[in-house]
Amino acid sequence: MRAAGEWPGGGTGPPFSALPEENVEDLYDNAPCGYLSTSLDGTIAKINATLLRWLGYERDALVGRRSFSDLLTVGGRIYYETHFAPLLQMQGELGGVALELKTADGTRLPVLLTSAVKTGADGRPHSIRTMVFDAHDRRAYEQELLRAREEAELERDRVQRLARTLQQTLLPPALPEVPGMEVAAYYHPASLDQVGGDFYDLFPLSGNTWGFFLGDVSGKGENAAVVTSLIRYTLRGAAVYDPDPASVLAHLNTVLYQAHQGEYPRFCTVIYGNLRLDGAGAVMTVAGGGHTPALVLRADGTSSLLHLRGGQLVGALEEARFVVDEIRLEPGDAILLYTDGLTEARTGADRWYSEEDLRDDLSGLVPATAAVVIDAVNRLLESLGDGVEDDTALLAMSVPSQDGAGT
Amino acid sequence: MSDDAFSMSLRPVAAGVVLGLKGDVDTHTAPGVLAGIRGLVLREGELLVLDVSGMRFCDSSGISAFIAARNHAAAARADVVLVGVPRQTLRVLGMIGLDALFTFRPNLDDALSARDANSAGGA
Amino acid sequence: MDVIARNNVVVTGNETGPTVLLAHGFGCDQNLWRLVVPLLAERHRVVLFDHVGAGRSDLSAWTAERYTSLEGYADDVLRICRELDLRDVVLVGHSVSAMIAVLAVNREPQWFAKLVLLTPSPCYVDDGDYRGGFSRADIDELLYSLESNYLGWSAAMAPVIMGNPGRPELGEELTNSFCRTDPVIARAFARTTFLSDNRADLTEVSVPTLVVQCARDAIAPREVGQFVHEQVRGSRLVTLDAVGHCPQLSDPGPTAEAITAFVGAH
Repeated sequence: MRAAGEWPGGGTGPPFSALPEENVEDLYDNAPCGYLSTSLDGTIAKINATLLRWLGYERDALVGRRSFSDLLTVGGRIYYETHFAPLLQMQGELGGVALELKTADGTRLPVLLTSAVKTGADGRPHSIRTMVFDAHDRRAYEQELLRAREEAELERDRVQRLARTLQQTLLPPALPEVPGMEVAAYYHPASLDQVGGDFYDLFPLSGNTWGFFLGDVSGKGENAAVVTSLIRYTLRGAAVYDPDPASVLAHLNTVLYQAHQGEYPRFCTVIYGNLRLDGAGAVMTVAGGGHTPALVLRADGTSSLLHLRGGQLVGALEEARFVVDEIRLEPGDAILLYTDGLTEARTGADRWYSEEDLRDDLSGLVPATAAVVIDAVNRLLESLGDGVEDDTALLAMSVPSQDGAGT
Repeated sequence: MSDDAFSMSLRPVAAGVVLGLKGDVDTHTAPGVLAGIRGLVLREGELLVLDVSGMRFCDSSGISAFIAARNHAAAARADVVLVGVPRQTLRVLGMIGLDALFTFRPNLDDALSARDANSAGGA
Repeated sequence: MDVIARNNVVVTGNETGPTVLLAHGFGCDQNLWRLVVPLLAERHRVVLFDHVGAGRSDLSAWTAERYTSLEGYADDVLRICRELDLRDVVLVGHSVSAMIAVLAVNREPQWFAKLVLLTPSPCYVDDGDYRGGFSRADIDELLYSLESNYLGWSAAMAPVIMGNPGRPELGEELTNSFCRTDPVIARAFARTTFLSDNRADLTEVSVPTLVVQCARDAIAPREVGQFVHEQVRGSRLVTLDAVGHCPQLSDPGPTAEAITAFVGAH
């Protein structure tokens, strides 16, 4: 080793001619990289000592006898023939290709290759020159990268599973059977790795009365999940305590408002209702807390929105107002509750799918049983595709037609 | 990036204060807006103008910011005016029953001159 | 999306001549035909395209469901025929596209006059007495080669290809061809290509067929070309004195001659 400062350029070093003897032949043979020349068909014509040493072959075993692709692993050979060779033929040179060579004792030598086509005096290609670099370090680094990517993928799967599981705990495992009614629900998550803030439930109250609700919490993710859980249990508890729908929502409003005073405000929009079986049909008393209007589908195919205008969202104001209405479902009628993932789906640069669009798209649906309605909305969601940016929860209830059609 | 698209400005006026929001008011930017609102010192009878005429996007966290402004002003017995609310946001405010809580004005001049007229009339 | 833009369909050559539809194989894109197109163009109308996922095709049209079987690719070939209203097409499929071509011809033979299978293999993996030339482990090794190269290529490869001072005209298209090969798509295409078994489809071919193979081809060895020739009833077999898997590049003259002679034969 020379000390720093003695090299040329520093002004004090020796001229190049004084370097230890360096002849071209020796440089070729003992260069710190492999050199390989082949004919156009791949037969090895010339190979340097460095590469022979790396591969563990005698010169005579390769030159004139073996072709370059014989040195490749089988998978590498396919890669060479389908990618490397065509490109080299088309553009005359190619660099930075990672392959593995097979050594004489069967071990693998990871290398980086750079090749150039050599043309003769007539301008026609007559051979291929290849430089071979040892790529052990790079290969080890790549394997680290691949492993890291696999781990990241596993981790993502785990997060998605966790989100799905958590989501399921926020929704009823299965809707209960309601005698004389058909019920169906669906949850369409907009994202696989985030817990959404939509919720619904349907549960028995007393005798022939049932409680149900569907709503949407502001925000997403774990904070929304905590609020969703609080809402669900508060609503069920409040309904047992005082089943009047407006009282149930007032109770929830107080709990939410107090729970989040001073922090980031958390609130929800929700429809809460009681369902009472009555003769051949059912009577519903419904309270609206700032939620998108429910859709009512009649046996004759007409549809309308059940607006509960003036009802305020729940949890944001100390005193909130809720609007109550009563509706009767006859045989063949259905009602659909949904969240605004559906009605805020983008249908154009500046256009959103509206409640009115939904009403019009679902009119004429006969028989509108709960399952048929959910199915129709699912097809709608599919057609809106990427336009659906938010989660969507659906809850449909219907009274079967008396002629048995649609059951 | 939503953060690049978002900006918030604060300007004292004779009647009170104008808080201007531009760009996307969403989960990422709303906490800053909330902190800004909570930091405002309002006196009784003053006006908090939320100028959102430059707002491009508003999700439910943006709605929380409106509500926080309204609650913060109400606690100080001040008034809130929303200026330049986009149609889609107006529709949402109507849906959730909050349109009655706010005064809406098409632009800042209207908001401030209506106030002057009121004050003059009240004096 | 219309199929012309989706598959980057290019029509060239002699409008009044018979139509030759060239389908590229696994690895590159329609650039692979660049040396034979001038030779064919004088007497034929030449139609070129990129498979979805390759070259300048619309990558957003690629879905795992559609393109993890060769049927999806064959369907695209038929769509091109329908869209351009091609008649009496001579369909030339290279490498894996030879089998894509077989599937297309079997499904809707009405579009096609003749079929040319260039270095075909109906099944790359050995199976009982059949010798495709590869084992399952070999194919896994190929997938590994793909992985390790895509890691380096996205950044390192492009400048090398672009900085091609001798032949600047090659720079852009080849860069595009490689930069736009999404690793996920390449991996899926490699699996589909090398793990498909279309031996049974060969006996269904009902149009005159030419099998062109190379004397030394590491991907589709001569026994495989012979097998294809024996399975396709009445087919002709031409063995080019060529080395490698892409005779349209290494030996464009003889390749074009073989195609031209077959197109004109009765």
